[in-house]
Amino acid sequence: MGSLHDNDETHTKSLFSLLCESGEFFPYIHTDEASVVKSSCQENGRRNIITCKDKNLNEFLLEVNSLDMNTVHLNGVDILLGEYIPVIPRKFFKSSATFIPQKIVAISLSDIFVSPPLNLKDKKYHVSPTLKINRKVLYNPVFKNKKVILLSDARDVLLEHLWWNRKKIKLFDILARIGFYAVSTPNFSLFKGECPMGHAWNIKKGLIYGEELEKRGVMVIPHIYAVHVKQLERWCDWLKRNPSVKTVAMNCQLQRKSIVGRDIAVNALKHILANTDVSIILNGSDKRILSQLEKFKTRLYTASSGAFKNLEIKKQMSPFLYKSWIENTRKVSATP
Amino acid sequence: MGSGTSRKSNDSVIINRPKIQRGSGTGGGQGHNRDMNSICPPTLKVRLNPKKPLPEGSHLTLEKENIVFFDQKVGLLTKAQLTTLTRCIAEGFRYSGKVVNEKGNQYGVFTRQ
Repeated sequence: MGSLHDNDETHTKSLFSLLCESGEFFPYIHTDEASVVKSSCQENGRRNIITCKDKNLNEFLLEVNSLDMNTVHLNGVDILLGEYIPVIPRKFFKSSATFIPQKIVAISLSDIFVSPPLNLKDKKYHVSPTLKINRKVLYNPVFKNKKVILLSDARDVLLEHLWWNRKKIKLFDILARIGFYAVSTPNFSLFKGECPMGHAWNIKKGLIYGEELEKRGVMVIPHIYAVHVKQLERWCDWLKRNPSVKTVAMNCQLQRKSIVGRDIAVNALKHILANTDVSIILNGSDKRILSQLEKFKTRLYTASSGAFKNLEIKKQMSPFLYKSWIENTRKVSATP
Repeated sequence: MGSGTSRKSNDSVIINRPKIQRGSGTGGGQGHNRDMNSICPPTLKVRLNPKKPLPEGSHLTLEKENIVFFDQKVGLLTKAQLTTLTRCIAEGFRYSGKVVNEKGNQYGVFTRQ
């Protein structure tokens, strides 16, 4: 198995895959990973990702101290979570915490800013010029007496902006001082068909991000993405070398929307669950993914803001509705 | 964000060269590499002044500071916009223009490809 999608028509090497030189970075990138490259690694202008042909590649490698995942050691966490973790959206911050029975809740990275961090202009997201983290975000009533996990899942525009400016804005210091119960590392993108160099660099960025937070005393939950079995093998190897990491996360919001995406997610999850003993927080998963992972059910936690968004749409927020929804979700397992 | 097979078209970013590190650590520093996302924004919007309304979604081209629909000059870039586009094209980025209707006006929206 190479690709993580069983019915993949891209098994045939394209011209682009033949020209990809990421395999030179073995063992941190396996030569097989280039076989599914579907776009040119040459002169991509660093659009969304860096490639093996980048003329300043050394600068990017230096930034993450090589592509070797094992230069980063994380202590991680072993948290006993409920089957369902509510992700509370900004619009509900002023609500009473009593509406929510769970002791452990989550917040999305996009919601920890004073105002929405991105503006949609002409169908493209732009970073807000007034971007500022709300250091007192957990003082909102809805978080009273709750343990709050920060799920650092966001759009690339925001994640890359924060990464590039991390020193200038003292990102890690600020995040550490807010008082989150735990923080997941960002879901830096891994799209199939793009240069594996970019994948490996993004995976390493996530680990460095976690390392910086742990240095400041934060409990870290590594976020895992993989679109190739060799990437999964490296993740499993890394998890075995970091045995105290017992909880990891995966964002499925985009993957759940297509058959291919769900295949990639399910195959990756099965591989990790079968080859390690970690538990996984699935952010934005759904029944179509969870139903294929029934035998690992006890090691899967679902984080979702869906219930709040449904309530928001109906504009009927009330304790009664919320409680009835909670009852309902218990009946249909963990899929709101 | 994300993983899978296709990116969201509204979430497009240029990866900046790392800031030059000073001292130890991996956290970046007070370097001078530029934020290409500010220099070459994802979109540029220009008010159009066509003689007759243009079909929405029509393709627009740039000829120096002129915005052109087929042979018709329908708008003009400001000096600042021209400077931005000239620089970004030199950096290797391409901007594709389309007609957009908004609040009774017509605009040319140039999107970074």
